[in-house]
Amino acid sequence: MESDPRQGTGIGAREVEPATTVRDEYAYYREHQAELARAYPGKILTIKGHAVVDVHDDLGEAYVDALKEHELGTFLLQHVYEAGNEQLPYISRFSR
Amino acid sequence: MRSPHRAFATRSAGVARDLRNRCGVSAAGGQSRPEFFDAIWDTGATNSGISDRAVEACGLVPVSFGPVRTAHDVKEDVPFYVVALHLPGEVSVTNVFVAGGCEDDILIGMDIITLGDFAVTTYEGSTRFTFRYPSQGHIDFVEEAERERTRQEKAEARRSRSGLKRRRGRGRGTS
Repeated sequence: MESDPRQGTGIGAREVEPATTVRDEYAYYREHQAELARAYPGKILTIKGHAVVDVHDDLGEAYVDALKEHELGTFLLQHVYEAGNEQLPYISRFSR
Repeated sequence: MRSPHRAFATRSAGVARDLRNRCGVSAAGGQSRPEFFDAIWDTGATNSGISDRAVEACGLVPVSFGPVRTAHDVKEDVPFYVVALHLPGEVSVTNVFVAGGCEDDILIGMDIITLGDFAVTTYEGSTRFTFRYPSQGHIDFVEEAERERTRQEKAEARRSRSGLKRRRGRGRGTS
């Protein structure tokens, strides 16, 4: 049976305390990037509590919808792509 | 009919080697006051970005992370923020995803530039760049040159016709 990511039981959901920082959620995403890319290719995922809680096609819409449900800083918006297969933003003037 | 638009023009005293003006950034949502910094307009950047200093000044919280390609390499795990950008001429763009960690406090990339019409001209030793939003149409110097050539050809044809009429009129008068 296919799980509904909006129920917080998406791929890789774990029985752990909900993550409290965006970086935690990003670590979860990186850990499950390959399987998420297969399940949601090209989509924008809202990830919270180490689970996919919403799926969008547009980053702006994803942001507006996420703010209706979650506090800023507690969720991750992630454009899903297979590692090495993404079109990276290019910014030449970067200081990091 | 063209839709109403907002615009600005930034003029340099001399020939500019880069395109800079004063822009503001604030957290998306419009509740906080914008912080203003020098901004660079960079058609070589696919996306816009802000510096760590701007992030701190605006109290921004990242909403995403990801890789960014730079002139030298690929930076991993770069934080992304959602902001409102406040451009001159009361041009504001909301819900813009910008990368943190930029060298410049505000870097305006092609994601913003392509929202409207953008032109750079250098005339009589002074560079000017101008932007209008939303787009009002294309600017095409080739089409402009063709229109001017057509206009000149028509004017020349009119002069030739009127000269011919004058010559014919004089001819009738003397016969």
